[in-house]
This record gives sequence, structure tokens and C-alpha cells, in this order.
Amino acid sequence: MAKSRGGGGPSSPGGRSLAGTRESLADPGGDELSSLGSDSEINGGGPEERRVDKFGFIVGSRGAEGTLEEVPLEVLRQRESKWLDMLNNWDKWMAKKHKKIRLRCQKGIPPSLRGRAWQYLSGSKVKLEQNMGKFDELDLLTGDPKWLDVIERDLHRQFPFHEMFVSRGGHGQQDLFRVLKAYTLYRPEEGYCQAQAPIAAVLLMHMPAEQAFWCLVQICEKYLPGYYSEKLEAIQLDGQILFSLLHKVSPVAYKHLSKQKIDPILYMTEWFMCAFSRTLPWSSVLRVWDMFFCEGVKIIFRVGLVLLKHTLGSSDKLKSCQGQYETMERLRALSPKIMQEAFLVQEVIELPVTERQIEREHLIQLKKWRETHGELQCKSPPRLHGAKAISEAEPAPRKALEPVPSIIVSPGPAPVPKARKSKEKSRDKGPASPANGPEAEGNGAPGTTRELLHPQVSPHHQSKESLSSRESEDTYL
Amino acid sequence: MGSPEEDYNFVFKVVLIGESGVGKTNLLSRFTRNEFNHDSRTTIGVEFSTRTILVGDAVVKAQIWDTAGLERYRAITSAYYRGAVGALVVFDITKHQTYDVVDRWLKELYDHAEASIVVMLVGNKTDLAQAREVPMEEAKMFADNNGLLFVETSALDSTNVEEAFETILKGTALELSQAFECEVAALSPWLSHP
Repeated sequence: MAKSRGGGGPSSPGGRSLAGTRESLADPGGDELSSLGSDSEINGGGPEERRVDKFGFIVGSRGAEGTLEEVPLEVLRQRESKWLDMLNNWDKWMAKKHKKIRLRCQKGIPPSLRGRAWQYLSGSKVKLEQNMGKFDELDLLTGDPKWLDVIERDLHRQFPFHEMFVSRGGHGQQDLFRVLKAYTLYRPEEGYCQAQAPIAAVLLMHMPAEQAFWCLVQICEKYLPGYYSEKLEAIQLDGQILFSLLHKVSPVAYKHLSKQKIDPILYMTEWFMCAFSRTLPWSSVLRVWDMFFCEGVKIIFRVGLVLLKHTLGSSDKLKSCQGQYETMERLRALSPKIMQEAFLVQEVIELPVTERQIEREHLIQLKKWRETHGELQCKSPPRLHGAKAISEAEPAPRKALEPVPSIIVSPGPAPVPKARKSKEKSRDKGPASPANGPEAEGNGAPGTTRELLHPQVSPHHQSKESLSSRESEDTYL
Repeated sequence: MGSPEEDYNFVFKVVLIGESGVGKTNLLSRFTRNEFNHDSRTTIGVEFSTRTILVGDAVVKAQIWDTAGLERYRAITSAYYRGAVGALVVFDITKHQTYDVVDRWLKELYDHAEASIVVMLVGNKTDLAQAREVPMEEAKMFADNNGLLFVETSALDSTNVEEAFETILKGTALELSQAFECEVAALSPWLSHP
């Protein structure tokens, strides 16, 4: 039985909690929605009931999926508590247990914590803390009419079948406007690029506007620098890199695309610029983004390579793609089997394409580019390959990564703010500092300096013990 | 090399160009699938669709290509124009700015496409005639002065959409038959070259 909602109302400002559910989804396209093809207009705000799937997509529409894999509730709860532990001790985990973070991202971030986790992984939480009030300042400015005009034209064209964006002028579209406008003010030399809209929309599905803005900044500057700039040079280069990597991953696909003279730009542009948010079924999009925020652009490359390999990688598959047009059509209508969450994630994890290979290929393609096009017109900074690289590039202090939840659980005497010096000690990445996460102090002992505002009270995630204690449990969860 | 159910003599590649938001994607969907969507998503990268129609005695498979209209996407369009024999330069009759930039689009077109490409100027959104900003006579005169075909359409209510594509395909067939100095129907199957 799908969740039912009323007409497109405002989304909650605190981000949406997508708790796992055991309810199986109804058949997509109930009676009242059977006319829902791309021909029908969804102008939200109407009083009629619209059934939405657990991601917010209107049931029966393009975005909604059929049966999904459900993580058992107990597993989900345990993952949540592990993630809460990690988030509460983020610096330590990043410094010492990054591989575990990566593993947990590969398994999928629990929906209830996804928005928060993305902010931690991307460094956008730190960015926000370093720039308090900046978004509000940008929000109040009018903005360049040239950009505003284009942005406004795009607001109703992002995920129009998602309940958050279905209403013209609704809160979702308003927030999308605010985030995109703010970016054009923050980086006027970049302005607005249309592919930023779906990216921002996905972020807004998981966090409020200010947070989404900084997350977008991190994507545009750290993960995918140059993707959205004038000239679109970075995406063209990545297209060449992708194609080049394909040679080893799937020689059959590579040969076919060469023979058909199909420029990578003709199929990978939307894939890469939108980080597959317009290509894959939604559950797969979220899994890919979980890994992307942790490991960087190599995930995007791997997804592209997997899709190409499984679509064009054998003579059997090529039987129905004899021409350029047929091949391109095939690449647009990918088999649901290869995009399905479990299959795709496993393939991506197993594909042996590394950052080093990507960087090496980047240098080769850059050299070729210079020979044919001259110097790059828009020089972007080198990209950072994931959360660890971003975190290491970030100068201290890291006080921002202390949790600041809004629900106070433990009452009591006026808490003493956590001593800054112990946090500063943990900045040194080399030698292991004594465990000084919040729970390390006074685990329940009254009168000790307790970390202010802990969201959780369950004993499961007091991380006073060493970080390796939970390791064995992780192997299957 | 086509699918068994489709028998066609020719494949013509036609590209849709013009500012973001003028209606290219909906012209495409209206012509090839008879669909229109107020909220069709922003085109990023390349979209395309086909429809097979009769042009004279010849069965023509029209391959219509659509791409992002935003300025910066111009950087990646050379692959897009390759092999195109027809082009629809689209503007929005209710937004003069989209008409003002038509000559920029034409320049871009002639920089990348074959000189023999058949071009049609299309003023879209006639369903919003009450908000018209570009007089039809003005656009018609511009088209005549520049050797372009001209039509006004509405992808929303279908006005002239068939006509627009039929005209350009006929124009293309004519152009090609003249180039080869023989009649269209007599040409052996000729597929869009890479």
C-alpha cells in the first residue's frame, strides 16, 4: 500500500525523513493515475489524492519504481546507529577508519541520515559553518536578470513528477530558485548551467536550501570542477577519458562506438553532468550518490563504464544496434536489469578503475586537447577524489563537525562547552590522539562535562570503546 | 538496416536549435509522438526521436535531434550537427529576445553544418498569441531575406507542426535530388552518412 498524500503542499523545512518501510508498493498506475502519461499536465496544488512512492515520486509516473529491495528494519536500525556514531565522531573516523566509511557508503546510507551524511562527506557542513550568514546574504540579493530568466524557465522542469517539485511556485521550486540564484551570485563568473538544476533538486530532496546550496558548491568546486562552466571543457575531456577507459573495460563496446563514430558527448553528457540522476531508477541514483560523495568522480566513471559494457559489450547485444542511430537509441533506453540497484552497485564496486588511472588518462587527453584546441579557456582547479581528499584539503579548525542537533535530550546543569583544545589535538592526523569523541567523557557519570545535545541515548552507539569493536558486525550489515 | 516493420527509402537528420525554453523539445515530441508536456524536462545533452512519413513517393525516416539551448552548450554541438540535412531554428513569438538571437543561431549553424542544409525559421507558441512580441510579418521578411523557410507553430495545440516538418523534409528531399540531378523516388536507399 503506497503512502498517500494530499496535493503538493510545502515540504518540511527540516528535510524529509525517509524512514524505511516494510510496506510493499502498490502496482504503479492505479485507475485514477492511468491517464498519467507524459501528455498530462501535472499542475500541482490540486486537492486530488496523489499516491507517491517512498522517494516522493508520483506512483505511475516516470520516476516511480516498481518493487524495490527493502532492507530489513532491524538491519536499517543498526546501520542508523552506526552512522550516528560515525557522524558524532567524524574527524576520527575520517582520519583512522576511512575504509569503513567507504564500505558503509557502498552498502547504502540509511535514508533517515542520508542528507546529513552527504553534508559531512562533501565537507559542505564545514563550508556552511565557515560561512555563516553568507547564504542568507545571497538570498536577499536580486541577482543578475540574465540568469534569473533562465533559472525561472527551468524550475518546473526538474523532476516534475516528484511531489516536492510538482507545484508551480511551490516551496520546492522556490527553494530550487533560491539555491540556483545564490550560486550565480556566489560565483558570478560561472553563472548558471542548466545541469545544476537537477543536481540541486536532488540535494533539496534531502536537506534544506542553505545546506543544499553549500553541498552544490562542493560538487561544483571539489567533485566536478569545470563541469558547469563556460565552454564545458571539463565534460568534454571526461567524455574522452571515459571512452579511453572503455577500451580496457569492454573492447567490444569500444570498437563498436569507434566504428559508429559516436562521440562520447552524444551519450555521456546528461549522465555525467547530472550524476545519473536523470538516467537511473531512483534507488540506484541514491546508491550511486552515496558512493560518489565518498569516493568522488571515479564512481561516475565506473557507472558509465558498467552501463556501456553491459549494453554494447558483446556481439549478441550489438545485434540490434547496427547503425549509429540504433546504438544511440539503445544507450538511451538502457535495460532495467543493468540499472537495478543491487546489480549496478556490485558491478561498480568490482570494476577495477582507479583514481590514478583516471588522472593518468586525464593528462593524456589534456595533451591531445591542447594539440587540437589550444589551451583550455576555463582553467578549473584539479578535482578532489572524494570525502577524504576534501577533508584533508580543508584547513582546521574542524569544530563544525560537532553535531548540533536541535532536539535536546539530556537536561541537567548548564553544560560546559566542549573544550576546544582537545578538538585541536585531534587535528593532527599523524599519531593517534587519545579517543576524545564526545562520548569519551563521562559516559553517564553525573557532573562530568557531557557533550551538549546528544540526539541518541541508546547504549549501542556510545563509542567510548575503540573503533574496532564493531568491525566484525559490519561484514554483513 | 531498419527494423523489419519499417521500410524506408531515406533517413534525414534534422536538428532543432534555438534559445532555451522556446519549445524545441515539445515540437519534437508533438511531431514524433503526438505528445506535449508543460513540464517536459530541461534538455541536457542530446535528445532525439524519429518519425517516418511520406514525402512524395518516397518513404522518409526523419531523425529529429534536439539539444540544450543554453549558450554554454554551444561548445559541444559540433557532433550534433554532423550529417544534418535540415534545421529548424526556433524562437518564441512571445519573447522578442529569443528572436533577436536568431542570427547568432544561424551563424552557429553555418559554422558547423553543411552549406546545403535546408533551414526553416519557426515561430512557436502561437497559442499564446495574445502575448505576441514578434510580428509575423517581421519574422517572415527576415526569413525571406535570408533564404529561410518560415512557419509559425504551436506545439501545444499542434498548429502547423506537421506542416513545419513536412515542409522541411520536402525541402531537404528537393535539395538532395537537385544535388544528384535525379528524382527523389528514383534514388536508391540512402542512409544518413556518419
